[in-house]
Amino acid sequence: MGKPSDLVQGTLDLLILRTLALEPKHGWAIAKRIQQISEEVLQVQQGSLYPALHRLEQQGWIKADWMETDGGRSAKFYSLTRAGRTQLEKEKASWQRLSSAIDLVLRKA
Amino acid sequence: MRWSDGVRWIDKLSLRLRTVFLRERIEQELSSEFQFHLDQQIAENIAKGMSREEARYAALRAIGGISQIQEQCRDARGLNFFETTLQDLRYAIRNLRHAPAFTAVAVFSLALGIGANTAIFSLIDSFLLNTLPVRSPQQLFFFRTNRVKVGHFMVSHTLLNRDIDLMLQRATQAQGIASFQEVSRLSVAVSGHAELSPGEFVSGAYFDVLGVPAYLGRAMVPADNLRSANGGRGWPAMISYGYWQRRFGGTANVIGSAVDINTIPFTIVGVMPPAFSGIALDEPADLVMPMITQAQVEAGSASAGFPKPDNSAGMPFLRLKPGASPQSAAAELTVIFHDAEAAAATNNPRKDEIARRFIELDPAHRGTSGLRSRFSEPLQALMAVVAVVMLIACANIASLLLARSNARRREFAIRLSLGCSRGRIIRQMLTESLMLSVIGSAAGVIFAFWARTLIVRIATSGQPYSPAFLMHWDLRLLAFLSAICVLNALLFGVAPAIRATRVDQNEALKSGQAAERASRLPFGRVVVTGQIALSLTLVIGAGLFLATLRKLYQANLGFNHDNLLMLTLDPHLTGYQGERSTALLEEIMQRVRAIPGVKSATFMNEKPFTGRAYLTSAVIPGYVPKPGEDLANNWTITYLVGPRYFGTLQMPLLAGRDFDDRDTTSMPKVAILNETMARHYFGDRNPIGQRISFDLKKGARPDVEIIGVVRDARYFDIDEDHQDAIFTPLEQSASRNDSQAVSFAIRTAADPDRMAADVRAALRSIDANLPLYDFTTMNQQVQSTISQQRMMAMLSGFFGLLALTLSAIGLYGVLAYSVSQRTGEIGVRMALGANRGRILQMILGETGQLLGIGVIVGLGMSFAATRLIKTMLYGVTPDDPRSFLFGSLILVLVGVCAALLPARRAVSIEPMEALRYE
Repeated sequence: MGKPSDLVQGTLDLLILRTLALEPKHGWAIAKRIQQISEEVLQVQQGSLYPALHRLEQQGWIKADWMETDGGRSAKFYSLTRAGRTQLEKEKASWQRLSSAIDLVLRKA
Repeated sequence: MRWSDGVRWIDKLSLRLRTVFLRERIEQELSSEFQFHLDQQIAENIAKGMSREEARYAALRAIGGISQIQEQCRDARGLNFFETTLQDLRYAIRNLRHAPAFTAVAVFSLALGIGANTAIFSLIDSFLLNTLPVRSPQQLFFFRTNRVKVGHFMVSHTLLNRDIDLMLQRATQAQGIASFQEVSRLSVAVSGHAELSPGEFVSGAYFDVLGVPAYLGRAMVPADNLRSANGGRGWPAMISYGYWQRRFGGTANVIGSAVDINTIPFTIVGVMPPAFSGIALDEPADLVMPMITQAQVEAGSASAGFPKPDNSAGMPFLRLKPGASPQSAAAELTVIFHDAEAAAATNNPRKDEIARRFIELDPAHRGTSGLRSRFSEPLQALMAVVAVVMLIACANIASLLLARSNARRREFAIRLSLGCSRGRIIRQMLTESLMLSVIGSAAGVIFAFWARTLIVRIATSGQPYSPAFLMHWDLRLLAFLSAICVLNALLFGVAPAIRATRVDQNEALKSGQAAERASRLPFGRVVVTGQIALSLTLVIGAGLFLATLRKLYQANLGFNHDNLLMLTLDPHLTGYQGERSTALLEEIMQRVRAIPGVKSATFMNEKPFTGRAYLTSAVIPGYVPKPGEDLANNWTITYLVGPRYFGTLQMPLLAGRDFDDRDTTSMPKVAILNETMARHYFGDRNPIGQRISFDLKKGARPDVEIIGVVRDARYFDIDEDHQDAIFTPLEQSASRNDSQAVSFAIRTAADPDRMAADVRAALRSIDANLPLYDFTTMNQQVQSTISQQRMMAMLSGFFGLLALTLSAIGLYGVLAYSVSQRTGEIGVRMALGANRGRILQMILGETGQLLGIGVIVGLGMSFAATRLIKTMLYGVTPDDPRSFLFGSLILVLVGVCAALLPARRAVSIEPMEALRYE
């Protein structure tokens, strides 16, 4: 099972941004979503998630609003800003470059 | 915050501000966010089939340390930066409060260091860096004829009105040309009450070329320099802001007020802006008058008429056209100058010499100031001196901080092992250093104000000076102060902070002493050696300046300058002309000589040691010029003097007689030469009885008989070389000008200062309205010429002493620390049989080592540094062995004194106590 510390440095940011690309979500939903899509491989710990969210917000890539959940509770929803969208594209590209490079090495070396 | 981030910086800023100002709201949001997460986890756990209680525990376990995560969130937001800084500040204050002695010593030495630096820098700022408060000052240039050597001085022949008039017509490289002439003393009467004030005469375009608007009313315009400007209410004049405040109480209705300047009626048309009081900074102009009025105002009579083409044009300046170079402008003006002179003076005997003159440009953006040219070199030297003092002070504080942090090693070790980062501790220590530096700077500013006022007073000898020289807070000064404050904190704070945190935690926790003992504080030793070397350099420098001053005081001036009362009188200001003026001088002489305690008295056109002189060209028939000597360009210092001049000044006559009451207008013209001039023109022949002339025209009859030769004297500066000088009776002088002031020299039996009141009363009894001024003694007059050297000697002496004190404290600190560290060792040695003499030897040996290396390094540094001040010395060489020897002796003596206390402590250690010490 992958622990968060196994996540390559910086990938959590990429995952959060990607998860928020579709619609605004609160922290809990972000963690669940990553877990679900990765078929339970990636477990996001709160200890990494929330500081990352606050850091991304401070950088202006995501913004936070208090909204009602389906269950009628008020929660802090994060959504992607325009700058965040650009950042997502950038990080996606660089991740793909990196992973295909690593892939190459693994296959040919 | 780059634009490429795609985030508008304003959004970022609002986020930051929110972070800072909406703390509580953010805290609340943080906890609700976590609560929400927790609730979701509990709900999920219950859905998995756990009991409510189990679900809660599992959720809490899963989430981990909530407060730690929240802390990380705060960090991510940058919230903690402020929090931590506040914490550090509180911690720093507490720490400093707990060590009042350390804090006092540190703040005091910092205040002295920073204060001295601020004071000197602010002087450099206003004297050397400030530009005139005018439009585009960099375009402004003075222009003048090239300087030629006269005696030992370089002088420039003045440009005449006819030259400037032609330049105004033809110059293409200048946007505008204007000129001014400063005047030291104007008798200004406002509603019948007269006071003396300095002023400037200005040409029409003056304010336009400078680009200075009026603060109130209007600025002078070219029309003010026409005869028609003298309307029914007198000539137009402007006053300075300061004068407006002082004399008119700053009332708006000053415009249109009538003033009489030297009895000529003027009307005030405008007030100049506060920062501007003319281009001549040493003599800030209270009043500005059109140049056309110069002759009338100076003569104090409307009958003096108007400027003529061959009158001096004053000090001209121009504003270059954009794109024009100073060289091209100078070349063009030289051509115009030659044309103007060629047209005007076809039979001038100096024609050939004039054709060789050319025009040179000097930057005018800082105005003119003799004070500045005299003090720019000393100020730069002083800046270096105070920087060194600062370095020594910083070194002291660094040693103190280091000793303190050594005492705190255990604390740091504990904090490091508890997980505190090293950076955090360094940051905390630097906050403490910065705090010290800020307190020191605040105290330093107060010291700087005081020191600066004092230095300016020494520099100006109490004369008034331009508002440009006042201390003002500009960006440069503020930037300097903040830079020096931070630099200081880094200088003395970084090294101790890094060293203190470089601890082997286990060692330090076991014993704070052991780890340090091995190194025996090499850092502290290096610092102290550096301090000793630097202060030796300052002490030797101060010694050289003091020796210079002593030599200047001892120099033989060629006359007796003790017990000479001097004063100046302007008879024409109150309407004395021609015969009346001559009669007045005679009456004054009689009255003054009759005062008890007055031994003798005389008068002259110009006092020695004022920096001014009247120059003439004497023609000596039969004299064959030496190779390379240009008689057409031969100007001689000329003193126009009264009877008994040499007797009163006690300048010994080598041959012939003194001037006396016989030498009047109706008698044959006479002159007295000084030794150098007699030897120059007559060699070994006896000059007495020879005839010379002051008329350069060919075939002019030599009509002046030489009646004496006088011993050489110094006329301008104590350190000048001997030069030609000629003396003739004031009354016989063709160039005698009624509008010139006359100075008196009165030889008194006792303290001349105490005679001043009697002399004043005697003169008042002749005419109560006589404008008397410059009551001074010859000694004061002479000393005013060495204010620069006096300032250097006083300040370098003061700073040398300061450096010495700081170094002594530093040395004491290191030795005391060393003794306290070695208490155990000394105890063991004594227990093993070492006697007290042996221990004393050990401590003194350590002192000797530090002092020895420091002195050797310092001597080398001094040798290199004193070369730089060579031009500021008189009578001593930069490598003067006496100054070097004395400096080293003083340093060693102070060093040994600093070592005595620690040595005594070491010697008085009781072996038993020492062994129990640890």
